[in-house]
Amino acid sequence: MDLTTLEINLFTEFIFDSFGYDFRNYAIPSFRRRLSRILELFSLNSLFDLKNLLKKEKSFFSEFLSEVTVNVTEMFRDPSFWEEVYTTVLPKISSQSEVIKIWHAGCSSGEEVFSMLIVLDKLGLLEKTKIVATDIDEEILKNAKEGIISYRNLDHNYLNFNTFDPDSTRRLDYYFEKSKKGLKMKQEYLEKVSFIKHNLVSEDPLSNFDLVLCRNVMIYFDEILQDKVLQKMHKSLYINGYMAIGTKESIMWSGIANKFDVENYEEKIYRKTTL
Amino acid sequence: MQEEYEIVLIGGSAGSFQPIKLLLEKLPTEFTYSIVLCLHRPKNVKKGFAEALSIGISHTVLEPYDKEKILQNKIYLAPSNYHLLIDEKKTIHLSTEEPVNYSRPSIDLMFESAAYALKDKVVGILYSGANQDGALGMKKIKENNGLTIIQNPNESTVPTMPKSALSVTPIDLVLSSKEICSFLNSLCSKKKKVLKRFLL
Ligand SMILES: C[S@@+](CC[C@H](N)C(=O)[O-])C[C@H]1O[C@@H](n2cnc3c(N)ncnc32)[C@H](O)[C@@H]1O
Repeated sequence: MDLTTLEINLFTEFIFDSFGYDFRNYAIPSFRRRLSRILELFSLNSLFDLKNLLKKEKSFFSEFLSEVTVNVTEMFRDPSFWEEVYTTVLPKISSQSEVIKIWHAGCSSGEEVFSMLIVLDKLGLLEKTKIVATDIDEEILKNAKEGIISYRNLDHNYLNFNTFDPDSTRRLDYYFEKSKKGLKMKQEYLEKVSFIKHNLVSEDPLSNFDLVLCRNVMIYFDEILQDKVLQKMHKSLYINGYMAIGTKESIMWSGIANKFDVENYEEKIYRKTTL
Repeated sequence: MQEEYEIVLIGGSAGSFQPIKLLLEKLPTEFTYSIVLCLHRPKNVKKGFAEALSIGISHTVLEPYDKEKILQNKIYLAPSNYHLLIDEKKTIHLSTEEPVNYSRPSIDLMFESAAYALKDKVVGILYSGANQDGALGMKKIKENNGLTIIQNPNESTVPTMPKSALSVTPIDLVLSSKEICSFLNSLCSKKKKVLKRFLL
């Protein structure tokens, strides 16, 4: 049976009261799918059973958190976006700042961050860059810190990379070494990044960035929460700093739309023009 | 069966491009419902698909953004690499979660979300295709009193998809691609009589 919207709302209230995590403004259709999937995964019959399990076993919560969030990601997702970052955004930032500060909000297992490290390396900008990558899900952050891309996901990562940079002198392998679980990004690149647990919904934004990326995170939020998080993104940027959202997301219906100029409409890159 | 359908959901995979293109070409300029397409395509065929569908038709096929509202008399296409879900307010929600039936967008996910949210306002049409995506979604549409239509398997280039639907749920209408065209034309309010003929 389908989980009703009422059941889901009561459940998110319970999670908020008991664990302090606020899913009350997550988009219902995708949240419904996540919850149904969890019931199936743990052979539970209803949200009532899930609630009881969460009450009984406090340690289960981190597993729940991991499953309720969507962590699917890939390196160089939307190759044309990365081309724009490479040819326009980073060179512009580099010409206006001594140090480049980048925030990946909702970095999942890190593929977006690895892509950024590679692009920075190609531009010779790694030395002057600081990256912070955050996510609500501690389990997935562990993977990101390890920097491993599992062998079974290699194909489409290669495909994206080759579309982004068909005649690269440094192939993707240059940045990785073989390990048991998959390709592991070399430590000299990984150490440029601080991976930190951070909840975009309930915490203040980090601040003083030249570029923030929050891609394919807000699609799981309703319009009200999207607006709230966009305000935070805006706040976290220096004036003239850049914001990137997913290529199928829009800021059209948010109050902050008029505080940004469109840098690239197709790739959803904006520049903060007004405080 | 009722006649106040508001949204027509169309799923297709291998072999569906031609008949769906024909369908869009034969649409009247004014129709009183919305159309949302969920079509499988190679992952790197990203740009140009909506444009290809738009050639020679009086409407532009839109690739919607997340949280875009579905309007009457418009045609939407699920963007590649995202699932498309629909809620009670006919707002579109996109998701990057795992592929379902090896597919993203998945026809099942679109059908299921809309069936739950919009019940008997939904018409689901499933065309030719080589896998089983869409079958369970059709079942959900039927269970929620929507109308289910498949392209006649005898006429489908790859009949696996419409056949799988037939094997899991009753289907209201099994039609040739030409008949699907006339059916959608008759859905416009002015032509209720023709619609009745179909539903008898
Ligand atoms: C689909 S992934 C996006 C990964 C990457 N940015 C991309 O575009 O490929 C969404 C991520 O957002 C995270 N997330 C969800 N809610 C969050 C919140 N309130 N605060 C921080 N991160 C959150 C999830 O844990 C998940 O890892």
